[in-house]
Amino acid sequence: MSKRTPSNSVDINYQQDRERDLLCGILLLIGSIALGVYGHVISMAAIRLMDINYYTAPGFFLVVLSIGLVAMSIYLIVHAYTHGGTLTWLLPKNLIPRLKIGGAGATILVFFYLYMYMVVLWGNIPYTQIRIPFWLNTMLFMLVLMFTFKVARPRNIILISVLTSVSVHFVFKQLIGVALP
Amino acid sequence: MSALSLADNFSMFLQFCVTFWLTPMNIIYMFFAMIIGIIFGVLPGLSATIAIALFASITYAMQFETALVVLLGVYIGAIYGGSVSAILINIPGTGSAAATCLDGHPLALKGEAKNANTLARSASVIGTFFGLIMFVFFTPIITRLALLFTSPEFFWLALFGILICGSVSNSDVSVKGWISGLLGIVAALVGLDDIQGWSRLTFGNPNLLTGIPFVPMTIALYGIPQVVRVMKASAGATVAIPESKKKRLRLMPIIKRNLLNILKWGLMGVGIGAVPGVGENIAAWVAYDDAKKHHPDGKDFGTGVYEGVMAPETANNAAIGGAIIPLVSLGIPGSPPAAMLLGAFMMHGMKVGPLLSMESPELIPHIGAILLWGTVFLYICGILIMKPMTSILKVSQKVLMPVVTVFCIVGVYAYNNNSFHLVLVFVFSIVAYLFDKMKFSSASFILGLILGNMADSYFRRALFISDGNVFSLINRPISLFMFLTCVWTIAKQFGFSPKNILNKIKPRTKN
Repeated sequence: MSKRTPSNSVDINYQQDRERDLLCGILLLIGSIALGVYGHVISMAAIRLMDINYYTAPGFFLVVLSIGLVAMSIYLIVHAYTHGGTLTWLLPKNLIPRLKIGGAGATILVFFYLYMYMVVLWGNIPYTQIRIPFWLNTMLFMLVLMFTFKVARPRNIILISVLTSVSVHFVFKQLIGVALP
Repeated sequence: MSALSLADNFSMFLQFCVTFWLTPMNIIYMFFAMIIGIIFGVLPGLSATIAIALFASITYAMQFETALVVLLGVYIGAIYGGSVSAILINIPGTGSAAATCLDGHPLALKGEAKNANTLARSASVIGTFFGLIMFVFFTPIITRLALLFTSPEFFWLALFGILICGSVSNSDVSVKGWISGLLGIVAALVGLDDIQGWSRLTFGNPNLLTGIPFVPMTIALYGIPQVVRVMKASAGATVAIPESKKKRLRLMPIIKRNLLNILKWGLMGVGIGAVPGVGENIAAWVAYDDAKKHHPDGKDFGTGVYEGVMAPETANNAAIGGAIIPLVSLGIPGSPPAAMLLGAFMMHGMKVGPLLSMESPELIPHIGAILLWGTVFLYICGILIMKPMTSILKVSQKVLMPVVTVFCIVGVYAYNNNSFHLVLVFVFSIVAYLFDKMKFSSASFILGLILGNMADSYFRRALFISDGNVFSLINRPISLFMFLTCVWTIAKQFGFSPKNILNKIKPRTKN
């Protein structure tokens, strides 16, 4: 097995990869065990209800998969640990600067806009009867996204947003016949 | 219901070649599909996979034959299109054109951009044609072989596909590719199981009873994370597109002196394209590497050698035919774009698997005919679109990506008019983004999603038939061979190859 410390040619990316692998391996190990338990529970429930063999029960393949995933996650944990992976990067004093460098803010913002467009404002707003027209929702999404990241001049952003909303409406509703919200 | 003989296949192929031209709409659809495919291929950030996933939803309302024309046109165009930006701005439009950058862009800097594009286009045409020949010839053979398979063989085939895809598609640790594949299988098991109708991993949500749909997932894994990457990236300097100064290339002498090489690169493309989940990207690199090693001016590769453009472009387009071979014969896609084609087949009600070409024997010659005319249209459209492409390349990705994203999202909704799919896409796009950060392979996940149900039902069927005897999975010669292949694939990744074992034994025997 390799030494626990990273190589002499300090490769920060390699170090970070191993740190993520360690976290990922641990989470995967927990998830795999849970999957195996779930598979066993539904298999036993199916056996009680139907007259079937354990090997043909609906949860058996999940148990087999979980065994494979457990083995691989243990390998990942060991590989990451022996190649310099640690969990100290999760401490706030280490994590926050790293997230700032990695552009986490921009990522969260894009996903937030996608969430608003695809989940909240699509059709009826959840738990309300308020309905935003599809073309308005699309235009808002494009305007907000492009203005946030200043991708073009304001006039061009508005033009692109309007053109996209109109063309999407035309292509999908008129040409293809999709019942857009 | 029976497979066609080789002679019947060939005569139907000729028949379809003629009837293609008798349907004017086919010509129009192919033309526009090729243009759109090339545009998707040219623009960095878009890809053949996204193009086909988007058009799979758009062509849902079309007849299957028409949808095939559009989807294959987009596929061929996109794979070629990547070479245009690779040559002009040194950024591959698709992953399969990455190797083309190495000699394509230096040629452009020498004032030979037009020559390089002509070479890339011609190589793509030759590669696509070669791939189609192999497709028409080999698919019936593999289909007949697949009919000998029983449940254990199909199970090992599914597992082998995931293992090989995971090994090749993950540049970091191979185990991560396998983990992605297994997670894809877990995702495929969501919903009612095929054998007893038991609900698995639905957690009481009735929307999940029908499982996780494949086409929206491909948009979640390939399309949405791309918009995040593009919007986060800094603008970067604008790259000037070099002008073409040198005189026209004489193509025939180059092709003549490389005839055997073209055959070799084509075979590499087809062979690698047929490996599940791998596809055009690896095919291009393997061919480039081969050309560099065996060319008399190998040391000049990277400075603008014609063969440095020919090799990857021949191989990546030949891989199209290669990727469709296992798709039609076994129901296993050879590349991510082929996986999207599989989704389109399923959307049109085709039962994918070895029986596909038995139930629809005209499918193989029909696809062959479309690929043939696609080759012709590739050359024509490639010439027509060259000048407009140089203008389109100047448009910022940050402007294009939101537009493409909207089309992709609406495409997801158009798939089944189900807004729950949008929620799934949102959740899985976060998963895909994290996959990307952790260097897990999305290609393996998608392959697991495709093959998961197959692996599960054939595994349980094999055990059901043998009354729980696990040795029934390896008691036939074919299943034993496939089992050993899977074991070898795993062992090789951990350094347990026969060569390594022999090397370790040798010092001991000397003593």
